[in-house]
Amino acid sequence: MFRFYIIFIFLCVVVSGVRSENLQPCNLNSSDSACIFKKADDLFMQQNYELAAVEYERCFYLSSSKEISYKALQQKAICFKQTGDYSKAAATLERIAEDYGDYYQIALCYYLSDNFQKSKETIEKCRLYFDTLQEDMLLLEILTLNEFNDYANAEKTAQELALRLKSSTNKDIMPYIDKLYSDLPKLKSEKTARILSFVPGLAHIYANEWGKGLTAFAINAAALGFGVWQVLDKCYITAYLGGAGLLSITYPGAMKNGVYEVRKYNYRKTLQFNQKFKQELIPLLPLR
Amino acid sequence: MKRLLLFIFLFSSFIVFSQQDNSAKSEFDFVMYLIGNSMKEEAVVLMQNNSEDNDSINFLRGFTYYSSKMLDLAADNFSKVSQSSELFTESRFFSSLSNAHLFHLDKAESDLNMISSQDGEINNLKNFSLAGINLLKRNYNLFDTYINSVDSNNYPLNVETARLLQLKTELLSYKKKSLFVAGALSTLVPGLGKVYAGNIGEGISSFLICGSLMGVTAENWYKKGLTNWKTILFGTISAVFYIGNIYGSVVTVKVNCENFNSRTDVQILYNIHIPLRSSFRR
Repeated sequence: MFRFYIIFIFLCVVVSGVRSENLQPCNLNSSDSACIFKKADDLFMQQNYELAAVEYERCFYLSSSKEISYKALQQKAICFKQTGDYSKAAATLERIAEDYGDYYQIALCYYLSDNFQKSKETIEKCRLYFDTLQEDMLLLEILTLNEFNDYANAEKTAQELALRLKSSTNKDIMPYIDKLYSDLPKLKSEKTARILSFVPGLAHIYANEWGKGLTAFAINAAALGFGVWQVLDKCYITAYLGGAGLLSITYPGAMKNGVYEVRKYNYRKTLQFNQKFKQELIPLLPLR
Repeated sequence: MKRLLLFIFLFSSFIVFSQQDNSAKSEFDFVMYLIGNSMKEEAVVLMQNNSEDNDSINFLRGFTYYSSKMLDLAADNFSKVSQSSELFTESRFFSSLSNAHLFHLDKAESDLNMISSQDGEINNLKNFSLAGINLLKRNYNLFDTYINSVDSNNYPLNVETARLLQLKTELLSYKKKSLFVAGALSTLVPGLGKVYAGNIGEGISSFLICGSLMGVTAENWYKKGLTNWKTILFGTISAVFYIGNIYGSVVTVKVNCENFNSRTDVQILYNIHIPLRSSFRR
């Protein structure tokens, strides 16, 4: 009987010890980071990135060590990157941004989440905080400027990148850059489109949309023709309300749509150029 | 010897249970930290992956879902908190609020009726919430009964009580427009039904459109005859617009009434929610 009691108590102590280890795995202020991140790292290894991100946040929440907090949020950002949630990754990194690498990652994450404005702002901030931008950040700046159609500044930055690479790796990419930027997309002017749109359909044709242009012209001509015909037919109310009334809807609509088509054309051309830039230039760069 | 063994056993049990308590508390604090720092999605992920089934976790799960506006799940988890838990009262209040947002008003009321407390503040809050739910039900007699039970000296509830009374006055003074009158007015003069419904601009616009089309039809009828294709075309278009306008006027009255009710409901829910969150500091 006595032996039974002893075994029972021994088991109780063992269970409580095990629980204690599970609940408080280690001292969060300790320098043993492998121990602190155990649960989160295990989840990360199991590719359960959503839950791993929460556990890394817990490490940040519980830790009073700056080092551990920094590592926890960096790992959390990696989890978000793995799930493709780049805007959350950027927001997480912004909470701890310290060095150049962090800012690069923030700018990159914003770029990947199509938030080009934020990406540009981060690069500009980086220019202020650090004396010179490294090659990877220069490339990101070129890509961001391309997205804003700011090709003049993008080319300047690309030339700076080419010079840097030539001196550091002896690789000359200047001819490629000159070639790419000599073949810039010919964008249509929205101002011209607005003027042309006074003739219904002309702005559409300017945007290479012949079918839509001719249709817009035909509809407006039909409305105007109907009005004129009714005047000649002495049906003045019908002419005014049927012809002019119809025209008052179709004419401004065609004007607006013409400018929209030019905007769409420019977007397509920019996208094509930026894709070509990425496909042709990035593989040539000896970047990490 | 037996006493010594018993002591060791009790001591070990105490250690185990105190660690469980600490764990629940730290989880509680962490989830509250996530919710308070706009990381509600993370809180939901954490709760969805927590398979524990105890009062603290059920409350926490309910509160996480409530904060993330997943109200049906919130009500479900709040209702799992047992009566013996110290979180029971708070759970019932939040369960009631979640059900009220889902317009499960009977459930919301029964959640509140399950609360029995000697605490004057809790009873005040309960009566206030019951008044709100009955206002949502448009049961003005019960609303009066409950709102009169709320202690008027209770500072945090004073403002919201006055606001609920004002909302009741607005509900009672709202004159419900007749669908029939709106339709009849639009039959007489196109657009007049919409003016009656309170949409003056829409009414004028309808009048101009229908009037113009009828004018064109009349001109063609007068000049070209009834069988002319233009008379038939514009006449048909006029008739479609005319009938559509009558139907539109009826729908406008109905929609305006629904909008008024839903706007008021949102305000009632908001006014129930404020003292609840400040009382429990959530």
